[in-house]
Amino acid sequence: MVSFLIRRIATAIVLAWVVLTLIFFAIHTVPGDPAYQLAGGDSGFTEEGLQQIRESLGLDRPLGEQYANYLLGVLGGDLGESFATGQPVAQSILRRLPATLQLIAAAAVLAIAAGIPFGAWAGRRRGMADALMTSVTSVALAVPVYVVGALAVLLFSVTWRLLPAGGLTPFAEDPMGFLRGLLLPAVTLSLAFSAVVARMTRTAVIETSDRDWVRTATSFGLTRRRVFNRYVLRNSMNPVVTVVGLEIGSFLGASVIIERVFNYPGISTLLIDGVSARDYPVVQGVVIVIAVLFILINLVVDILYGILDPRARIR
Amino acid sequence: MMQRLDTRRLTRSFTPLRWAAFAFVVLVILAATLAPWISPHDPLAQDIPRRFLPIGSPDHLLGTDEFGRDLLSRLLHGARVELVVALGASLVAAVLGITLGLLGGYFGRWVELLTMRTVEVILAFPPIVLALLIVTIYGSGQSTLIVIMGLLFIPAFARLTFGQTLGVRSAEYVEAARAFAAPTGVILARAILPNVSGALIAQFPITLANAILLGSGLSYLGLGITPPTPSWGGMVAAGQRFMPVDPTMLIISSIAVTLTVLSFGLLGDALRDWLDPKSRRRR
Repeated sequence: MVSFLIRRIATAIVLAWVVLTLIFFAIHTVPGDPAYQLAGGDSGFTEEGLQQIRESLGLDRPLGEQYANYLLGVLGGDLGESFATGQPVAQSILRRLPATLQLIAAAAVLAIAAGIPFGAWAGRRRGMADALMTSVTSVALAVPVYVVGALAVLLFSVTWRLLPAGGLTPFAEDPMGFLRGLLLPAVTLSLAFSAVVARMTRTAVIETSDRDWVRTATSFGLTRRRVFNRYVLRNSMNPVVTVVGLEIGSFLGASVIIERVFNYPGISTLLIDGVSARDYPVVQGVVIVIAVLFILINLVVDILYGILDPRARIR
Repeated sequence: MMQRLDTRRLTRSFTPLRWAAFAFVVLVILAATLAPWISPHDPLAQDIPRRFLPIGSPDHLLGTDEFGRDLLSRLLHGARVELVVALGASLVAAVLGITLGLLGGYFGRWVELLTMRTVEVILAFPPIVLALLIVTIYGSGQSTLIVIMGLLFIPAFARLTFGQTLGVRSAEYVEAARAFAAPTGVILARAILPNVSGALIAQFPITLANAILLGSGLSYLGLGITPPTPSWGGMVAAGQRFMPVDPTMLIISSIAVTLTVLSFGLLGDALRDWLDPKSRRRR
């Protein structure tokens, strides 16, 4: 188990380095003068302004030195300063990160709490239940997340006036208000994800039910319910965990759009405003944070997989 | 190499719902292709006094938006924009992905390492985040979108081709081609590609659906296709902004993009059941 952990963590670190390197080189692939490009072409930056951008990004130094400074900076938590506001990017991100993490955690819990029972139910009953689940999840996967969000706001906030249309009050100030603000974004974000979880649970449950040991357990006189809940469901969780891991990328991506739909005060709002304003340090900072988050969640899923299925530790 | 068309499997793969999806896909493609000729109005022509007209208004079948522009015309031109981007991106992804997968699967060893590692690097980013990074550097627009999404969707094709190629690379007909000293390119193109193409053809509409999802998502954020060019994502965004006044635009554009994505997905399912029988047991 220890060597498995070490190997997984080492892989994650290498991956983080590759990602950081790619982000660094992305800006240096820009044809011509990156400072000019980043200033938005001819959008009124003076030569001094351009020079300032070059200096703040260290573009006037040799490439190797820039790269080393960049890596050291990121490791030390220094993500540079925003072009637009001059504030340290790391600070702005830290202020908004809790809201994003709360959203993602809430949506993940909802997706698992809804997806696993739904999928298990369909896999156990087959027939109509199965057909119902397949069509419901097909639609859930096809509706763009921003459409679900916009329609949810239209119904619950504009028409019925039940929930706030956006924003989030901190939990410490008003716990109920916090939950009401979190509800719509989290449910919207969890929708597609729970569809994926439900489908995978269904497939896994059906496959597991065909195993010989299920028949053996049933013939030993255990009730079907007990065999299903204790053995079939538990042994179906490995592929579900794998799929959760594979889908985290699109899940994080959807959270970027969700934050915009609900005007949610997380890091993605920062990211989107940064992209519109071509505020490169802000974009770079948020992209680094999301990419690292992505790698960390994947690491946790991998380790979880190793705990659930000891065979996975060997590879 | 000529395969008999298996009509029984064809009819079993295409359920009535999937036929409906296929019909809708054809409709969307026709609308997108013919948009400049069948649109009743110029999608950019503003008519401020006649803004937010309801559905069924004379001269404006689906009503007008916040600038008094004709919604039907914008919907049709939006279909054109979304499809051009999605099709371009899917073609780029298919060509690059299939090439990487074929090479990696056929040669193995260091070629496999090189091609499949490249693919893994793309997967190391959440897709939309990578897209936003590139938009920041290169700016938004149709061609940027095609390039970005073309890169993002490489892994789906590369992994699929790779897996399938591994399965057939030591098949007898490949050995036979090699025994005849056929050039490697010919082996890949004539012996391997046709025998792995079923799954790849089915993957194409699914990638199109994903590209429409992601592309319209970026346009929704205002970072893909930018106003005033009509796009479905942009129309949903504008519809959301003005929904307290008039929710029609939001509802119409939402239905259009959802039905289109759903239909392309269902078409992909049907093609997979028809052309790639092995997959049916897997799902």
